[in-house]
Parts: sequence; structure tokens; C-alpha cells
Amino acid sequence: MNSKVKVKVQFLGPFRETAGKRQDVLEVEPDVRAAIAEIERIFQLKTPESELAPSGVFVNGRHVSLLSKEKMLLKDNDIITFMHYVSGG
Amino acid sequence: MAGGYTGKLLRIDLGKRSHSVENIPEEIIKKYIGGKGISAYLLYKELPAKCDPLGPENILVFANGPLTGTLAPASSRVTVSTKSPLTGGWLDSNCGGFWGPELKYAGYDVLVIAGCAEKPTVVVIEDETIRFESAAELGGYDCPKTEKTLKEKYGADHRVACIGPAGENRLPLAGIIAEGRAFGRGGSGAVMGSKNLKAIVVRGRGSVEIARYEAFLTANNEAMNELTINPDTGGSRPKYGTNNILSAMDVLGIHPVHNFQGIPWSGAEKLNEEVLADQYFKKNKACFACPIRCSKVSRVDSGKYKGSVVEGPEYENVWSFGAQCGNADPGAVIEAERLCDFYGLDSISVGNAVGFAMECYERGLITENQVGFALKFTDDDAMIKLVHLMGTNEGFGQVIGRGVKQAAAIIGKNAADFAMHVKGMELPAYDPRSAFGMGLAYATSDRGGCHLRAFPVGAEVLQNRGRMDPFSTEYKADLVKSQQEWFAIVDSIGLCLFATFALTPRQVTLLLAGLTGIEEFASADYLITAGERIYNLTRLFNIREGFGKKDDTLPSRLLNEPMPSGPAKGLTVDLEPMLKEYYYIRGWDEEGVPKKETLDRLGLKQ
Repeated sequence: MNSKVKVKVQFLGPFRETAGKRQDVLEVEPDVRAAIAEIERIFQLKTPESELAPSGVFVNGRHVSLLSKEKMLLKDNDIITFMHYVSGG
Repeated sequence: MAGGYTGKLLRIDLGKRSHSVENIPEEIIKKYIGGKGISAYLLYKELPAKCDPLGPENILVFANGPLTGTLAPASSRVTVSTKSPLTGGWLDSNCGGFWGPELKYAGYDVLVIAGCAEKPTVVVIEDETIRFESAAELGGYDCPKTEKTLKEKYGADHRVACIGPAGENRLPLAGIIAEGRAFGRGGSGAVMGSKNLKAIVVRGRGSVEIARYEAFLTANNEAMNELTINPDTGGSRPKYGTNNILSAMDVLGIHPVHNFQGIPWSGAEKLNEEVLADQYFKKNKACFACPIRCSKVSRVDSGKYKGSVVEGPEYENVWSFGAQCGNADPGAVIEAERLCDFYGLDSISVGNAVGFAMECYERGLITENQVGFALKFTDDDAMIKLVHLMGTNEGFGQVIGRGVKQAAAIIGKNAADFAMHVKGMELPAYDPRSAFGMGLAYATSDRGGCHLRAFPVGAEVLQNRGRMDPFSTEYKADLVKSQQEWFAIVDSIGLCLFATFALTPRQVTLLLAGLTGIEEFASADYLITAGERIYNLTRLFNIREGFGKKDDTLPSRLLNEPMPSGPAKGLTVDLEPMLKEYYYIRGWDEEGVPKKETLDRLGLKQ
């Protein structure tokens, strides 16, 4: 069984309001999907509004859907970002 | 005449102090739509090749779209087009606010300004009455003072587009300011200055015809609802303004730092959307008929910039006077943007140029003696001083105010390697090493370094569905081409680009068809083909001016210097394969020249 890893979690825009903070450091499961689910549960990020507003989750600035297989395992000091829906500047 | 249009073109000759009104043929409207499209048609037809952008032969074309000044949401937009004194090529620059709608209410879809006035002049348009009045007392006035003076003279219900000292000095970075909004990019203010035209004052008492009232209102209601429920246009944008993406751009490594040197930067902590909204925004402001109200009025309440007020700051300027110059003081950003509106300057290019000058200074290419003061990254005092020098065209401002391409040629040595421009226009706030498609968009933009001809960053990193890999060259040519065509249409119909973050092409065609009654406008395919026609026409314009494949490129730094940090660490932009594919799918030859069959298909002639 993998031991937990310590990651930095950033909450941008509306996620900051839901989480009540802009960032945190957490110990989570190394598996990215498990870690995201855990963070969403801890901070109750799944709201009716968030379901309407598709957002992105990034690991070290890379969208989770684009992570290679080996990057699906988190390491200490990785940064997970919950990003609100934006279209451009 | 179709709904949405007045069908009239007002032509003013400043040299002869005369004017005439022409009917715009319906076939031209159907082919080029309005705004950018109709301007491209006029400039390609009327402008002599290789003319001096600051000479009397150049013309300024202000053009509305059919939606401008209607109930349609975000329908404030008007375009100015001319030959750019910054790039020597095609320029169109798009402005919101209220000036464009007022021009339409005065009875005109298009205003063409030709010739050069003998003395400083204000053109006053009150419906069918056109007057040429002296601007002698306005000489040297900043933009807010010019606007205030003219509104006191003609009435608060008159709308003013003017230039400041930068335009009067014919600075290539000068824009035209329309009551806090700007035709910012590419030097249209310098062209206006070269014509001795200080301001255009407009008052209209007409209205806009709607061809199919019920259909238009139904489409309008749907569009309004869509904008309201969209999480960007109805959520983060009204709340944070255009700076709503700063944190995202920072996290994704797209926010350029220290003139695109890509070094780590902690300034986002102080300049992000939440800080500005919480501590600096004082009220919302909206352009004509806009439910998004992305514009903010900000004020600095403490520190050395206390009392500075600006309509903004926009994301682009939070970058250009922030990370680009190594500044993390929001007060300095607000003051710098205020100065750009004050002098009538393009705030993207100015901030880019300051960052470029800072790198030149730190590399020893320019000295304190030349500049008049030390010019290091993070020094906000120096940044503000240099903006003043550009605005007044004094000292080193006379060099750097010509834009980074021309300044690099004057400074010499290897300055051109890190002059961050395309075709002479300074790059905005996106490092394409972190989103390759943006590199192709910059390289093939018709007006030079610009994020508003295509914005692949959205599909590369921001969208959750249909996402592309930002570090891949695959599919980017098709993405950029299709966006360029759609954006050309958006800039031709009078709609704000931000509205299209929520509205689909179907919703836009419903609005257009209901408003105009033109059957063809009910087809998105028809409109996209028109967009392709417009983009090929601006290409022909640039080719006639001597541009070609050699100019469809990026600054050396982006092609040869790997990103030193962040998600794109170690990467450069692999431009060539994207460019080759782009030319192919555009129907252009290997030198980037549209093939005869492409022009025939689009109904164009070289």
C-alpha cells in the first residue's frame, strides 16, 4: 500500500470561496484521482454551481486529462490547482 | 436597406474641409458584413500601395457592424482600420463604449477620414450636419481634458473620440481614446495626429431599423440568458473583470515574466483577481447594451499612488505593467494604465516596451546616461517615469516610444533577439512556449503580435471539454484558422468578442438574421466563409506592403530559448510544422501567398 504524499492545493476564484482559503498543504493518496476525490470531499467542492460550471484540475500546471501514466502518481511538493471556468482575458 | 444598417458611408476630406455621403451597395454588405470586413474592402481598394502611414494618402476608416447600437448584448463595438505606422501593414483596432453606437444614430455605418487638415481640427458630426472646427486651444491637451472640454462645448450627450499628446506627436504607440475606452493597438492615434485631427465629436438622433422584430427579440432574449448563466460572462468576468484569468495564467506558466524570460515570479500573490477585486475595484462599468459589465473603476487608496483612478485595470495591463516589468504593486499598475489613457497610448505595447528597455538596461545595452535614470526590473518608479517620457515624446521616450522593433534597431547589438514583437507589434500577455497554438496565432495574425485574431489558449488550457494538449503542434493550424475566421466575423458585426465566450455561432446567426433580414446571415457557414474572405483580404493587403512568410514568425527567444521554469520547462515553440500545415489548409502557397483558386473561391482578386 502506498504511503501518503504531501501536496500543495490551490483554490482559485469561486473554489477559494467554497474552500474558505486560497491554498493549503495536505497529505493525500498518491493516486491523482483518489487525491482529487479526497480534496473535493474535504472542502465540499462539489456544489450545484460547480456542476453547472465545468472547471479544471491541474497538477503542476498540467490538466489531469493530459497527465502521462507515470504522472498520475503524485509526489511530495506537487501542486494541485482547482481552477474556475474562465475563457480569456 | 437591410435592418441594422444605415447603408450610408460618410467620407470626410480634411484637406479640402469637405464631406460627402455615399450609399453602401448591398452586395458589399453581404460580402464583407461591416466593421473589419468592410474596412478591409475599402482600404485594399482605395489605399495606394506602399503609402506613408503618416502621410495624407493614408485613410482612417471607422466602421460599425450591423449589431452596433442595437439591443443585442455587448453590441457596442466599432472598428478603426488604417495602414499602421507601427508595423507598416494592416491595422484594425476595435473599441467598445458608446462612440460607435452614436455614429450609427447619426446615420452612418462607416466614416472615412482622408487627407490632412492644414491646422489642428475637430470634426463635429451631428446627424447630417458636419463641421470642421479649430482645435487650436486643445493643442497638447491630454485625453480626459480634451473630452471634458469638448463635452462642455457641445453637450454631455455628444460622444468624443480623441488623441492625446502621444497622437499629436505621431508616436507609433499612440491610440485613440473614446471616453475611457480605446482603439488601442497599432498606432491609429498617430495616424489621426498626422492628419491634424484632434477629435471626432458625434451626436446622433436616429435609430436602428430591425427587419424581423419578433425573431430578433427572441434571439436577443436567448443571448441575454446565455450570457447571464455562463460561468465566465455571468460569473467570474463581472466579478473580477478581465483580470479573472491572472491566477490561471500564472499557474499554467503562460503569464510572461520579465520580458518573457520565464523566470519564477511571486507577484501574482499581489496582483491576482481576488486582490484587485477586494481592494481596488470601486464600481462596475459597462459598455453600450452590455450585461457582462467587465469594466471596473479602480482607485488607489494608500501608498505613493494614492488617488490614482482608472477604468480598469485590464488583465493585459496587470501583466504589461506587472510581471513584464517585475512590478507587483497594484497601485503602480493602476497609475501606469491611467497614464496611457491620459497621454493616449497603447497600454499593452507601452508596458511591453518598458520591460524590453529594462532588459536592455540590465544587459548593458543602454546606460543610465542614455535613459536618464536606472531602469531595473521591479523598479516601479522607473517604469512610471518611462511611461511619462513616451507620453511626452521626450528623452529616451523618443526611442522606446517607437515600439520595440524600431527601438531595437536603434539600440543595436543583440537587442532584436529579445524584442518581443511580431511584424512590429508588441506581444501581449501570453507566452506561447506554454501554449503552442498561441505561437501560431501570433505568427499569422494580420496586424502582428495580437491575441485577438485567434485565442487558442482557451482550447489549449482553459476549456474542460475539447481540450488540446498545449505542448503539441497537432490540430493547432485548424484551430487557429477557424478562430481567425470567426473572430473576423465578430469584429465585423459589432459584437464584443467576450460575448462569444458564451454565445454559439447559431445564436449569433439568429441575432443577425432577425436584425438584418438578410437570409444568408442565417447560415453560420456563410458567415465563416465571409470571415475567411476578410482574412484573405487583409493578407493580400499585407503582401502588397511587402509582408510574407519571413514575417510569419516569432521572436528568437520563443523559438530558441527553452522556458527555464514552470509547466513548459525546457520547451520552445515548434512553429514550422504548424505554419506549413496552416498555409496548406488556408489554400496559400509555401510562401504564404493565397493561391488563385483560393481567391476565386472567395470572390477576391489580387
